Amino acid sequence: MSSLISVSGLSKSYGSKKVLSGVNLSLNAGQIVGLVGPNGAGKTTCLQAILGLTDFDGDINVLGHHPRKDRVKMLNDVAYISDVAILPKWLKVSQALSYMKDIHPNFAIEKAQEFLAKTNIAVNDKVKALSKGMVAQLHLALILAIDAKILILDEPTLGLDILTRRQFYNHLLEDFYTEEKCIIVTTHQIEEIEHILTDVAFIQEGKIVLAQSTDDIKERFNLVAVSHEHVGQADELQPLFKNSMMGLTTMLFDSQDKEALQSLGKVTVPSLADVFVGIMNKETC
Amino acid sequence: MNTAIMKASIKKELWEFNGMLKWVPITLAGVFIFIPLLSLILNGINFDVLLIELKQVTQVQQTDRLSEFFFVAAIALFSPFIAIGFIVQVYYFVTCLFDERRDQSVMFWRSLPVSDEMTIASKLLTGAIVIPVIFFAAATVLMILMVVLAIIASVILSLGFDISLWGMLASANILSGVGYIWLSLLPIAVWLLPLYSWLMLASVYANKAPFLWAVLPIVALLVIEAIVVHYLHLSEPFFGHFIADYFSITPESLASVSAEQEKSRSAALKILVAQIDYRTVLVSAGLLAATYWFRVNKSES
Repeated sequence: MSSLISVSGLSKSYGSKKVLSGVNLSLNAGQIVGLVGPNGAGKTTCLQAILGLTDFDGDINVLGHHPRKDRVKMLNDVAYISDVAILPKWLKVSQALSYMKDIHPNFAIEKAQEFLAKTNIAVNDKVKALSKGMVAQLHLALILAIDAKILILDEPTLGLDILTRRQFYNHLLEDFYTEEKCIIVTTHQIEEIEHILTDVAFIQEGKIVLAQSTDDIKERFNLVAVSHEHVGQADELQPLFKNSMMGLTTMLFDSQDKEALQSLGKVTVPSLADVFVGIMNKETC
Repeated sequence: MNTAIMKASIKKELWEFNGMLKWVPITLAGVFIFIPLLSLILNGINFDVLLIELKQVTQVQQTDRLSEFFFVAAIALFSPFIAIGFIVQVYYFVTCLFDERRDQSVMFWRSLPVSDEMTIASKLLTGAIVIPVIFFAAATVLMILMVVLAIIASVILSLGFDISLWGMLASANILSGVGYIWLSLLPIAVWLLPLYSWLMLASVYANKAPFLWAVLPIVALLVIEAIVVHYLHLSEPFFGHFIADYFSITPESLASVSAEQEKSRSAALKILVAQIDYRTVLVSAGLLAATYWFRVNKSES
């Protein structure tokens, strides 16, 4: 299967500060990839490099295009929602629709209108009159109406309430996603989108520390509620993460024999958030 | 260059500055209509004196002088529109690339398949051509309104008072006078291209206060150059001389062109064209290239 996005050896520095260091990623059709990392890990810079919005060292290929040299052609098939409410306040909904129709070869205005009809947003509304959630809905309407092969979302639900966040991801799956497309999304609320992700890439200090399918991750990692008498024995298996609370110790193990773990306590499948916390705290454990 | 995208980009600029580009010319035209009306209402009018004066005017019709008089009157009408339009243009250029970075909407615009070349070209066209066209059009509409009023007055005077102003109106060459003013639009735009390009560069570069970025570096450069020239006893400041020479229409240039011209209307056009030279191209190209570079490479997040 040929990759829709292929990133190899991606590095980026701001002055002496290294933001990305040797990032390798490959995204295929049908994947919904979560790019997850703490603040300042380099998620946004990575996405901006993929979009050609910033210069970089290394190689990036998006649908056969170089993001910097071939940005406009590439953007015919790539859609993007950023982490800030970036629709200008002076813009009217009707103007946004008209502009998109005029400049985007893959924009279907009917689809956007259909989507907006399900919301409280009127065609004559100005962005400044809309709430933050409505602006996100409008942005989503504009982006979902693009027949893009790749959708890049950078903290798209930041600052939105839980209902709007859920709606946002539901629409994403219902109105955009198909097996031919791929979505790459960064978020801090990984537990909310865990069920829709096919793959995750954890990024820490500009480096990808884990990139795997969610199914493989659930096979690879185990969360064990270790009883008090087995803690010493469990420590020898070098858990990624250990958390003691109310007399019970929970440990996260990477690639350990399941049967051996069962002898230490109750074994469960960790959530992606558990694995993320475990990987990010590896150094301190 | 894709004309449909260019059209959409210019339309977008007009939406953004809709309030200013609609209400400033309308207000200005309103002032031109309102003030004479107000003066008429407040001071009243003596029709007998007016009729006598009009009769005298119709008796001394000299085609050439009348035509020149109307041309000067048209320029007088257009001048406030051109001047206010210029202020609006300066405001537009200084804010056109700054505002979208301030509200971060640049991230949205740049996520769409519109090239940075197209964005800069559309903004340049909007500021240099479209905005003056709007102000010229407002002045022209006002002019047409005045001509219509003059025709109505002529009809009334010829039917009711046996005073014919038709000959005077016909020899005024109003159409060609306004035509010459419109023809100056493009030379003005090209002549001022270095200024517009500089303002766009300030707009794309500044993180705060783009107006200061547009003015302070020039002032600083002029002051430093003046000090250097003074202490090193150089003949004259290069930069200061360059700006003064390029942007000023000197009496010498007026005289040299006027001497060859019989009519002042084409002379004004010739003077403007004479100001355009290799400096226009070089400075504008350099500044626009720098603007493009910052647009592409300046990090916005």
